[in-house]
Amino acid sequence: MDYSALLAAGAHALSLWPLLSLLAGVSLGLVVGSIPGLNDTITLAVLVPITFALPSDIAFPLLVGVYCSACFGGAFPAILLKIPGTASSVLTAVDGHAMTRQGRAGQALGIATYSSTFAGTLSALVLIFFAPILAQYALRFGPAEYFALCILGLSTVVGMGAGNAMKSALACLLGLLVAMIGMSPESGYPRFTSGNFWLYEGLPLTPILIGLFGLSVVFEMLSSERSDARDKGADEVPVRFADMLLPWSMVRRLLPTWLNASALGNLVGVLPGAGMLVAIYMAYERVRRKFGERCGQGLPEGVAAPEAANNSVVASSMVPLLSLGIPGNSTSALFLGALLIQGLRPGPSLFTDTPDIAYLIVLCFLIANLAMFPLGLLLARIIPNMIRSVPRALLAAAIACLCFTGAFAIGNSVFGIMVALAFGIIGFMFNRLQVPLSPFILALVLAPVIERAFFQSMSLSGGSVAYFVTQPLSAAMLLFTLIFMVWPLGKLIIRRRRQVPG
Amino acid sequence: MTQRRLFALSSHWLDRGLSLVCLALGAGVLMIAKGYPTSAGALPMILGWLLMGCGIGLWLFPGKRADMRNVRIGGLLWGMAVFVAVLWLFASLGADVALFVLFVGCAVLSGYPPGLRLVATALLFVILVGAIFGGLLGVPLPGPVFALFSA
Amino acid sequence: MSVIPLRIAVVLLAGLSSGALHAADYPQKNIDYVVPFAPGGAVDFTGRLIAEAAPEAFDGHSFIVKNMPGGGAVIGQTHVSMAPADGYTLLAMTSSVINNALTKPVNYDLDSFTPLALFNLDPGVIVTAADGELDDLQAFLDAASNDSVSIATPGDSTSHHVTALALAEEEGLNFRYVHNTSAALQLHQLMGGHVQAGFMSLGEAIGPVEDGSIRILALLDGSRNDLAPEAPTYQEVTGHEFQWGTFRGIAAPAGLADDVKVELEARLGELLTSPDFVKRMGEAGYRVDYRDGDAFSELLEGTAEQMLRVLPLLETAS
Repeated sequence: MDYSALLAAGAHALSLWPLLSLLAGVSLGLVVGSIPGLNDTITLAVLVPITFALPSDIAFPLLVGVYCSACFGGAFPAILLKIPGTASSVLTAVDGHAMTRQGRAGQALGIATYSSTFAGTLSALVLIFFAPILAQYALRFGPAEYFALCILGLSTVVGMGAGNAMKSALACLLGLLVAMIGMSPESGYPRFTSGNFWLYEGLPLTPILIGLFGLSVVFEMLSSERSDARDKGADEVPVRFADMLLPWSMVRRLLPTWLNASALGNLVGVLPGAGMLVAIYMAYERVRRKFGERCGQGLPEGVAAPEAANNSVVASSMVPLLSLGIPGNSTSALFLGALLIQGLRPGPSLFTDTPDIAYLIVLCFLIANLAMFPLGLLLARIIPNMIRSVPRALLAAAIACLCFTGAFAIGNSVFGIMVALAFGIIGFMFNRLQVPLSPFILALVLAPVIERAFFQSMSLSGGSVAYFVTQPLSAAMLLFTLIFMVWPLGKLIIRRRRQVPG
Repeated sequence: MTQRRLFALSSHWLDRGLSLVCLALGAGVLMIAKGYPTSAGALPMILGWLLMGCGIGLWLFPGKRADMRNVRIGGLLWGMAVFVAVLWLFASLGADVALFVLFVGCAVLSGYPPGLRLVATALLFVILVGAIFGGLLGVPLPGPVFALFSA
Repeated sequence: MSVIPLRIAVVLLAGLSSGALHAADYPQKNIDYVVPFAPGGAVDFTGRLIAEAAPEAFDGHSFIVKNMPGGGAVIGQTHVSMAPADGYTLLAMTSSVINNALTKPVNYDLDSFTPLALFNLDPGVIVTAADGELDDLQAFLDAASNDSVSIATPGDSTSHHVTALALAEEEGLNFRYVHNTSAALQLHQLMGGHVQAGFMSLGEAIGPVEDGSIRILALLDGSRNDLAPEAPTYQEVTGHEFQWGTFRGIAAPAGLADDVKVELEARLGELLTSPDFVKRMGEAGYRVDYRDGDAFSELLEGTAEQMLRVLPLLETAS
């Protein structure tokens, strides 16, 4: 650890132009994050070539700012409209929107801001001080470990349905089934495609999310009674600044949740591929275990856990790139390009050869997370009242337009819109039939990873299933899964036994 | 205004309906996946059986929360019609025209009074969307008006 | 409508700005550059580098990068093959055009495109972890012929998977394939010691090689490469010729008018060999190997022949 270089980079990062570009990046990230269908990847793809012309101490603050704040931006529409702006805020929508309907939108936005800032800052510190150690740990995850981790992640959905376990199982199965569409990972054999090459790579995730969450809301609005269509939502309580500042008692109450979620985010988020969603779901599951039925009905912890987890994943997903030179996801692949174009090579040599810019980048993660706090609160003050002042009919129209545009822009084709429309209807039916959406999303994302990891393991072990149990890490995770699955059953039996003598 | 309800079924029977869909889907998956080579067909086969199991479970233990009351089916159908028309416009004329129609259509369907005010709002909003996507974010959208933003 | 005077004005302007070199009435508007992959990959990245440099060579008109991912690049490739052949829709052409045309039921083949320029050749490499037990290519070959070696590929029926299949067939080797979805995951498995070796492109391997976390066992090219001068070619070690690589180029739909084709080729050549562009590509880790349309066509034909020979292997393997 080169502390003098760290300090010098700190002073540099806080000078005028780097700081301004960082703030610009954070603001831009909040905007793109809050628009469903736009995300950090597409924004960075556009920005990276523009940064060629910029010096590296302006380019990287901008890029880091966008990357850090985009997933926090997703929380705004999730809380206010139940439309997650990014995949990482799918769970935020559950308790967040419940709070909005109880007139506690301000508090929910405040919790999201506090949680994101706290966890993001913490994981930026982890990135600065422990990146090499985390990177070595991430390397220990081979196919068997990935398989076990995803199974563990999938087991968190067991109790997610509000009341009916059958329905969460159904949602999970349907998600797995939709993920089957396309070429199989092992042999490239096309499944459920009926020879249509639009389906060869499977259905694109973003249009599915836009449909399930965005268009389903539009369908709901179109099919509701007309009388209240011209209402301006006047029954909703206006958001005041005071609501968003959390009292100390609330901060103390949420602190364990934040620490839990950050730890999970840092450990699981480091893993390239499936880390982000698994970390978020596991964090939420811990809250659900603790609070049971109250979860999903506007519980502050239900907002804090996913928001803390997703922001801690952001910085830790940079660990493999900066320490090993391996981009963990498509966003860090763009960072790789940006680094190379500036004459920097990510990997172990980055911090020894070019410490000034390397430390500047990791410090930007820290500062960007801190900058998110005031900017987030500012937006939280403006957006809800803006939404309140728009008549519901125009709101439906605006959401529909953004959904269509986002679904189109992701692949520059109307196929995205078709997918979004189909899943809009499915999402509407899910809501009406009380089938939870979150197990569906997790299963959809994890299914390809599980299947691929399974066949990879089979190839490595020569077809022996015992391979998963002989690897200590994967064996431990599978054991945990088993305990998680059996636990609710065991609790039920214990409760019954207690009731009998009583 | 007369309102048509979508099914007068109780939530109990709605869940049983869902369970039938589940059984049918599971059976369909099993039938299709049977023809796949082993490595590609293994997981779909498992899923097919699990779906059947889930369908049976849901038939035996239906929930009480499913709710199809207060659904104005006319609104849904008109909405779908507008969406399909917009889809066609998107592909043929361009995003700007399509989004304008979508905005006006959605607003009128949800009860906003049609008029100059709505047209002006729609125009402004569509131009804003074009400016954000094409101008600020460099994601080009097709269309005669939007072409101006990406230049 | 006064279309004709406008055209004349544009031509005059164009003539003024580029020193009256280009006479045809092309280009008059922005050009769509279709990348058949999602943002973030090498094809997308190099495409955006080209777009950045384009206005200089195209009289101020821009290249608009359009990502059209899906179907293993089929969506974008189909889009371009059916687009009007007016020179305003270009495709980021990779070897996947050949693979797709041969292995999937698509509506296009090589003849549906007019190759215009090649700008990057990336030879294949066989790599292993720096601390792996396979010391050199000979050890790798011995291990694979006596026992079997686990191989990380970037996916089933990708160019690198095909390379490994072809090598196994030619030398009688046993590989256990571990299919991933990206070079990044291949590197992860190599460095973590989960697989013994991997097939990838030199461009994807060069960073970790310089860091000393992976080693190149063999370069699948005709001669050594100045990016990794220590890496021996396959032929040097074994005496057998075995070359395989990927490439990146630009193509238009078939049926391009001759004058537009000449114009496009000239301007693309100017763009792709300009010192600025070459420098930026170099900084980003890509060497510019410019070849004109005819040379690119030749390369494509050669690769297609090579693929045809290997195709039966792919079918028996799956």
